[in-house]
Amino acid sequence: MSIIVMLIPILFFVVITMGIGTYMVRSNNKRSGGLRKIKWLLGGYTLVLLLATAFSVTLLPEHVTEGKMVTRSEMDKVQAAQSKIIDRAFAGKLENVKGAFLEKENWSFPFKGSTLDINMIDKEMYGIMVFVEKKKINGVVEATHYYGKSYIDGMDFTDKIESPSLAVDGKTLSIKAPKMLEVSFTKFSEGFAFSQFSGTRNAFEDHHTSVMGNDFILLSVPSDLNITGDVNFVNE
Amino acid sequence: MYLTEVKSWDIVKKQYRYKLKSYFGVFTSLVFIQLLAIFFSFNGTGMSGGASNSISYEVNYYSGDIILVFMMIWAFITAIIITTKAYRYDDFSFITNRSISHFSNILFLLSVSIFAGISVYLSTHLFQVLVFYLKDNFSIIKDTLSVTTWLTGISASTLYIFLFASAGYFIGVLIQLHRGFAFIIPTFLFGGLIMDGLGGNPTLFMNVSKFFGAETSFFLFAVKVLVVSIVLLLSSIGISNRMEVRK
Repeated sequence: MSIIVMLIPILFFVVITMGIGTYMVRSNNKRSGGLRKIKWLLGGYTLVLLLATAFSVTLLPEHVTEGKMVTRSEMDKVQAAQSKIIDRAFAGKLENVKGAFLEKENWSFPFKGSTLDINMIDKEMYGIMVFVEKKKINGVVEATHYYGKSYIDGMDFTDKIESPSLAVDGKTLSIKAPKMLEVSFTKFSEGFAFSQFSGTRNAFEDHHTSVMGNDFILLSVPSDLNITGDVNFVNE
Repeated sequence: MYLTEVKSWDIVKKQYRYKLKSYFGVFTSLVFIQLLAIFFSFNGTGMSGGASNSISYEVNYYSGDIILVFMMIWAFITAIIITTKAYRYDDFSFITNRSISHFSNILFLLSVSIFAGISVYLSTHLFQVLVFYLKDNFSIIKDTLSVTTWLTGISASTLYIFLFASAGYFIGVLIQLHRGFAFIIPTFLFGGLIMDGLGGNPTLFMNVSKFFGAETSFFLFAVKVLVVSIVLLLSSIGISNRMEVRK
């Protein structure tokens, strides 16, 4: 039934095209001066198309973002690299972060206590992985926020994503959710005949590919400091 | 021995020029169909959205896909129309034979395919300008086209349109051979599509589409389209030779 419903617009279109096509050719043959009218119509239309193209190519880019697109295979590679690093981090080894992750922000908090509680504000709404690395440092807690490369349909938005807010109050390190980045845009493409050979899009696959990068906080703390909260220790 | 020796190629050229003028009306239908395609494209070709910890997004997609598909169907139907009796009889105003008539028709179809292929690219830009001014969303991202992508894109559009024109010409000639094909072909075509899709996993339509649409080498794509088009057009010439004079 659904196939029949799908065919109705095609049938409608075929009937319309045949009707217009037959009428136009026949009326052209019958009427004297019809050819001149059609030449004017076609000439006018071609002129409008050329002007629109010139406008679109030269002036429109002032208003639009000519995006530097990343191909699907490149996005797949980045996503695989991120997953591999996170998997290894959960197994206790965090290394080779650069490339797949972007260092977004650094904090350094003076800390003299023996225990640090990690408190996630808005836990129901926001969750971030926290990895703790014990180092030979004294009187300071260092934090770095890493964000995995994030692409929306091939466009890199990692730079625009904000970091959470971190604050130490007493013996508690609070992590507060960042302001949500809301992205809404319209994307133009010339069509499948143009993308078929460029490798940016396959007409037979879901081409709306986006990669939402993982993010995490790496805490570097003195080796004798006790940490409580939802954290994972790495590089011990 | 004749007073005037007539070269076949000269007659083909004369007939081709005559047809460009005589069938000029097809360009009017091209304009109407392209404007109709632009109108249908306003709905967009899709949207995607999602959210993570700190980012939520919504993307609306617009492309020239609908314009190209409409042009392919337009070429298919135009090719059928020019095989009808009314148009074939015009050829007998010239000293001609069937092959000459076919060659001038093929040249005409090639010409309209090239014009349609170029106009698909241009009308996509007209569509972009209209969307830019008529839609509220001003964050617009455009694919950047290299010269190679631009050239292969316009050539591929032309080839797709010519492929459909060749298929339409073949079917038009079949219908002229016997009126019964006017019922048999749509029955097989639409019936086949329905039967193919009944299981929920259409393979025939997908395989035919993928043969051309999934080809990522432009050279191989061009070879595939040209070989299939030549086979269809030669078959059309072969079939029409079985017809009576002025049938």
